[in-house]
Amino acid sequence: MNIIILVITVSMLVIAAFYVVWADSFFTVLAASSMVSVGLVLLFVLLRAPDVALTEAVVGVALTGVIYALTLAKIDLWKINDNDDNNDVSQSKQ
Amino acid sequence: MQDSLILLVVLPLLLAFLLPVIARYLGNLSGLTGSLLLLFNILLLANAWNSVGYSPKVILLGGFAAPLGIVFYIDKLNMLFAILTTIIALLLWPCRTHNTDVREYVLWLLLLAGCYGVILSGDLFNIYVFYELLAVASYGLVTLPATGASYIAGFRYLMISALGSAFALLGIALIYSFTGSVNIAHLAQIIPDHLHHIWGYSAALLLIIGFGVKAELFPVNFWVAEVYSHADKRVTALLAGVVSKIAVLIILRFIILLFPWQDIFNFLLLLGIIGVIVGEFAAFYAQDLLRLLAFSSIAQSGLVIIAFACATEAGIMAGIALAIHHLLLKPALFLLASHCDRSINDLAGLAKSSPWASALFVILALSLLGVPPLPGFWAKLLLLQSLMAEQYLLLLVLVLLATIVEAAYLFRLFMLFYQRQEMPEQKRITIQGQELYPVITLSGILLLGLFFLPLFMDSLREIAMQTSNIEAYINTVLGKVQHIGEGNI
Amino acid sequence: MQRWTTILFLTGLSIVLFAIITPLVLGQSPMLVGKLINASAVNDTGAANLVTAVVLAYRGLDTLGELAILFTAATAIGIILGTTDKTQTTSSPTAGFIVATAAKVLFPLLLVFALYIILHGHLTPGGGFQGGAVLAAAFFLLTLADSGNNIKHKVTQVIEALAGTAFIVLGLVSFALQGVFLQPWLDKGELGSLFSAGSLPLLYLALGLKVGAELANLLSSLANVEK
Repeated sequence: MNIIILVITVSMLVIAAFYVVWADSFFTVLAASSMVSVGLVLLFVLLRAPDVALTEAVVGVALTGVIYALTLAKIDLWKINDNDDNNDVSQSKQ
Repeated sequence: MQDSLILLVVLPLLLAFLLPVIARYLGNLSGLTGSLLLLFNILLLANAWNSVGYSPKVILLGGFAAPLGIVFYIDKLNMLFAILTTIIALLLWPCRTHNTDVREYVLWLLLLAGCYGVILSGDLFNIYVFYELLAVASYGLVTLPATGASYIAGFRYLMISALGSAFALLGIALIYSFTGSVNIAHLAQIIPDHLHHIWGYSAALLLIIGFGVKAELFPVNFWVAEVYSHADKRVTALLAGVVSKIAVLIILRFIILLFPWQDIFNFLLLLGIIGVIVGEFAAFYAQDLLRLLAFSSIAQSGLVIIAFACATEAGIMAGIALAIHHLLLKPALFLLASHCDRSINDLAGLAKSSPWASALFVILALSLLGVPPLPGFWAKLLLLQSLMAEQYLLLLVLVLLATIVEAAYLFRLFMLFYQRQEMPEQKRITIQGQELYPVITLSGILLLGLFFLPLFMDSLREIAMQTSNIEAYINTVLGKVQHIGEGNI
Repeated sequence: MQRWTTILFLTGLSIVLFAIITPLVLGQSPMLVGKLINASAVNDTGAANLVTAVVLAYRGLDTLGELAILFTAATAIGIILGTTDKTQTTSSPTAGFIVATAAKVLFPLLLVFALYIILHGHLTPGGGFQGGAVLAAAFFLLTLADSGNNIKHKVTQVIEALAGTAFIVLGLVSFALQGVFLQPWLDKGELGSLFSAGSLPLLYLALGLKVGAELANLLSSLANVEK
């Protein structure tokens, strides 16, 4: 049973991690990287490290994402209200 | 007595935490508190210097015996580096009376606390924590000029440095998972014999590369020129002089205590010699003075690494001598050079507009080169002797060749300084008055050292002997609990 | 193209990491020091949560160092953002009804949770770092919901300075009393009760306040500096 959960968690983590590289908009990138952190939290809980899981949950899932979003907003790459085109990673590089 | 040395680390942290608030009431005086703190630290060190003597001491933090808690290891080498760090920090302290952001003082204090921690700590993970502290503080300080170039330099520095820290952390994790300990003395009992296989080597490489970022070691030093030419001059002086030498000191401890294997020594020799050659040639082709000094600093670090990688007592002695020489000299050179941050050709005829500065520069640069009566000569002589003793003849030739290249670009510089043609009035550079005091003090210390040369050589030999004595380190730290963990691996 | 190079690089990195961790068997590392700490931690510190015993007692200086690193990072970011005490905010879009209501509901819960984690750090998993981060998140949530509701820099700065000083002073008191920095002092009390483990809960309280004030400060200064 534990092994199954472990496998599901790890595969979710890996898929989310690949999606971080593949995603097109910064919004998706942040969501996916928070997803990686969620996977890590589950993993830490399964490995019986509640302290580390708690830290990862607060810092990895919540604060890191917020800090990235604020930083992107500061350099004008974070526009939720606009069309999706403006959020495109490849476009903003040009 | 030595127990009070913990205050070296704690008091800068305390002041750094408090300063943002009390600066509101102190106003312009807040810069002065840091200077006072550094003076107090010098007194503390001077007081402990004699009481420590030639038998190393240990501070147990939290009162827990060695492999359980963190220890500070106090011997003459560590104290020497701590004293020199304090002196240079005091000379470079940004005590301007007007318009200084209090956060600049705070970062300086944190950087210094990190330096002291890295120097004194005898615990692998604790060293990493303080190394990270000084790294993060230096990222902030590099961007102080607030120009575009300094931001780019700072960002690149942050990236490479963070990668290095990740490597170092991975190395520590690897060591911990194989041995279950992070105390250096404890590890010195275990690693050399029990981990002498591929995983020990990978841990060693990860740690050397990780700490090599600050030590300006060859493959991870491409940040050096950019950062040194765009950062604040005092920060550049501190990074080039003190921080790089502290990182080299850590690498020395690692290769002596943890990884005393011939392959690692050879690897470091290779990195060192590539660093020397690349550094000297890059300096030869450099077009502005700060870049030239930055590249020559890479070469000097390479020399120190070569000396340490001989792993003999003579080599260690030579390395320490070179490191101390460079630690005192490079800040002075950078302070002088920071006034002429443009193309070398603009420096023509500098000797006329600012005779004192150019005279000081020439003397210091000659010492850097290793011209006989100056201190640099004796340090380089020690290196050559130790290379001779180890029969590394090819290395000897390469070091001499590098010195010739160094001579070529330095003399080209001197010729420019004392050229008869002067630059037109508006492009002329004058360096004088107050700006010169720290430089004069540093050169004074160096030249004064010449009078005490025999005394200094003796104590250096003693320090080298003490440093290479692994048994003494283990016994001092672990004391009676030596049997821990034998046969468990 | 760039995407493929990234993936290639990451694959290479993961192969290296994988090669490094293959020889390690999960949960079977030689816990040389770990065993000793397991045996003696309760006697030495009186903390029921052994992680706390390690974080605050055996490796207290590391914790102080990490606290300083966080402080350094916040200070460096402050220098780069270049503002000291700007109360002016940008005309950021107002939060929607869902966020505003959720913030009001969640704020007291988060506050209680954070204080629980901090105060029970020596008994249950968690402690100053985690609690402090939750604390910061709670206050930042209010700012997110209502951009007029700013975190006061002056207040957080004072809390931060006092909490950091308190941590060091707690260490210095033991230095003055016993000649050892950061040694646990005060009565150890009964194992597992709230008032136990001597000075450790006090240290965690200082740590939590410092981390919380610092992160809140950092987040709010990131959120409202004029563009």
